[in-house]
Amino acid sequence: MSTELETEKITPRVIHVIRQNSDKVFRGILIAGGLAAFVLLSGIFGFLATSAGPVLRAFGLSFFTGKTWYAGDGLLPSEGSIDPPTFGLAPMLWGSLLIAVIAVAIAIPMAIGIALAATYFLPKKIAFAFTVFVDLVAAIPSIVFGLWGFFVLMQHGALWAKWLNTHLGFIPFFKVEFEGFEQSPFMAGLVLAIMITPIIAAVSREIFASVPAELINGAQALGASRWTMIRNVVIPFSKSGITGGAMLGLGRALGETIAVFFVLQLFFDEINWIRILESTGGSVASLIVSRFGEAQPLEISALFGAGLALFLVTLAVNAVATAIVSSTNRAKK
Amino acid sequence: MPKRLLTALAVAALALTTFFAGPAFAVTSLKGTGSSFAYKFITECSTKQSEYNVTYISQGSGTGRTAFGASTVDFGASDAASSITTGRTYRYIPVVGGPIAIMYNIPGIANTKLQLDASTLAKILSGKITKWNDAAIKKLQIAAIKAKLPNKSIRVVYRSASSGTSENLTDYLRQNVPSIWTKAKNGTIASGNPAGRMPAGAIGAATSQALVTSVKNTNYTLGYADLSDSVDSSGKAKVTVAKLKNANGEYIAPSSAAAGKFLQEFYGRANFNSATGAVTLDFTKVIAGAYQASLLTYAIADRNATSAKAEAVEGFVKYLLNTCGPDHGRDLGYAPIGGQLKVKALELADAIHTTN
Repeated sequence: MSTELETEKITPRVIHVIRQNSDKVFRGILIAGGLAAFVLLSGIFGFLATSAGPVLRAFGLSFFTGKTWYAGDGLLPSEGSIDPPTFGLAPMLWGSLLIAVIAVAIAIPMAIGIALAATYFLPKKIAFAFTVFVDLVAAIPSIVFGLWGFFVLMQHGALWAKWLNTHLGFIPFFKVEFEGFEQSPFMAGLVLAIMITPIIAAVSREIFASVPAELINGAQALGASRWTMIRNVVIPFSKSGITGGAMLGLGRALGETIAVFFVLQLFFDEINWIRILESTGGSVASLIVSRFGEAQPLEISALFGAGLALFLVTLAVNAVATAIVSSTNRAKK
Repeated sequence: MPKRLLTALAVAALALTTFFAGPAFAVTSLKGTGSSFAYKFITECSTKQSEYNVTYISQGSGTGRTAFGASTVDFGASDAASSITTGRTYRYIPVVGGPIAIMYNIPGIANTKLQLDASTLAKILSGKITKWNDAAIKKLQIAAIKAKLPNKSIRVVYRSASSGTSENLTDYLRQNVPSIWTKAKNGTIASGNPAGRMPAGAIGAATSQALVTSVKNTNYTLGYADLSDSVDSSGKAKVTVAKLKNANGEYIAPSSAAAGKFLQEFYGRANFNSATGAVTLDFTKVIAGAYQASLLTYAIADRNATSAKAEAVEGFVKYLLNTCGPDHGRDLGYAPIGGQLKVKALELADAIHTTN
């Protein structure tokens, strides 16, 4: 209203920003916060890279492509080693990706089901309680999932895996060449799936809630049943949002350490490409847990290298996730 | 104003009393980290006395060595005496030992009734023997047990995280049966396995607690852990353990006493390095009544340091050797350091702190 009075003057309006002290402080805090995240990340990157230096120099690219992780006597051949170590991360890197993909593949249907139920099918009050309950799962410490996986899920999961193997063993994924179903990528994927479902469900719920009401009303006006409406309006609208949520879950699954370590048998010299039911696996984070405690200085450097590789992969996954989520948001506007 | 003065006086008085109370009443805080094998022992010992307030975190021997080297702790604990890159002058001091129990779960075969030797154990762990009723296992049993061995696959449960226990067990196998256990000792048995992998159906347990529980709950399993992890707080066995044949030809059950008998023999020049404190265990040595698959833990401590912390570390290490080990070690499944080795260890402990 007051602007109408001001526009009576002919000179164009000049906006003077006089920042209050509180504004300045707030601005400062925000900038510092944003920068701190960046500085911290680069700091971690720098630390990992420097610590991994000796091993990366000695092994070069074969550190990422080598198939054997063997600590030997902890000396380099140039230092007069009689039992030289080899550090190859490939089985672990591949294992991490495989497990994370399995986890996401299992988690997505669960998460979408949960989100749809909470948004469209359950009465409001029950939906709220349901949502709180699912979100609580995200707060359970991962060691609890690890112990539960080891003592409870493993016994049952091994039976399901055996069933899959007996009846669908002709599919290469379900083949088992090395007896033992307990600590397979599948088992680790199951545990991880439960851990990341709340994240994907939360993202999906937000997306479903943001589907424009006119689209839903329009579909219903055309005589669509609730299910047809969901299939033809809600899901297509939310597709890329759900993908973003899944990518966030993937990032979480990649970095998960202790829960996976409990339910996965690590193989230090073999890549298990696709036989997901077999007790043969790899995981970068679990490798670090399994070897760090007693490691000699050279292997510690190698483990930092493993951390570096995981850091980069996770960063890449998160970057893709952010890009997808933000492009969805733009599309909606 | 007078009130404030009064407060100041009170504070000053309090400070003075503390100052003059002398070391006899002062509680020194000590920070240590390292060996998970020694964790129960060191934490129990820190609660059994009130002179030192010891915080011990079990992060593994390698971490213990690194943390000591980086001076982030007052003392470290390690199951292996390898050199540390550090500016500190340090020594390894053996403080406690213990047997590695081979545990099994076969319905109908009671505690310590199963008998094994290094050769069969190596074959089981590398997948060369896969059935409980294998002739090689049968051969070692008394008649009553022979008949009870089932025609079932052996499920090996192993420590998947690196540990001094795995390292010493693989060393024991390597020294005793090098033709079967063809790989060098390794803190992670899956990585140091001559077969390149654990036997089919093996289960990796992340912690020794998980391992013991898993063996206890699963039929036809075989696993290994420190005896201290296989007894509950009252010293009662949680799981059945096997007898192991020693170099003297006797089948010995894992016990503090039998492990102590083995460990205390390594004080001579050939096995004990008085310059570093490192003990080289000869797992093939013939000792009557000894349980050979045993390991020991060292404290890593300063040498001739003048600080008050060093004085406290010296006091605490001596307490471990003289009092806590003999009084409480056995109940927890540990073997106190005894005999001549204890004399050597105390000599080393004596030189942690110096007044000049």
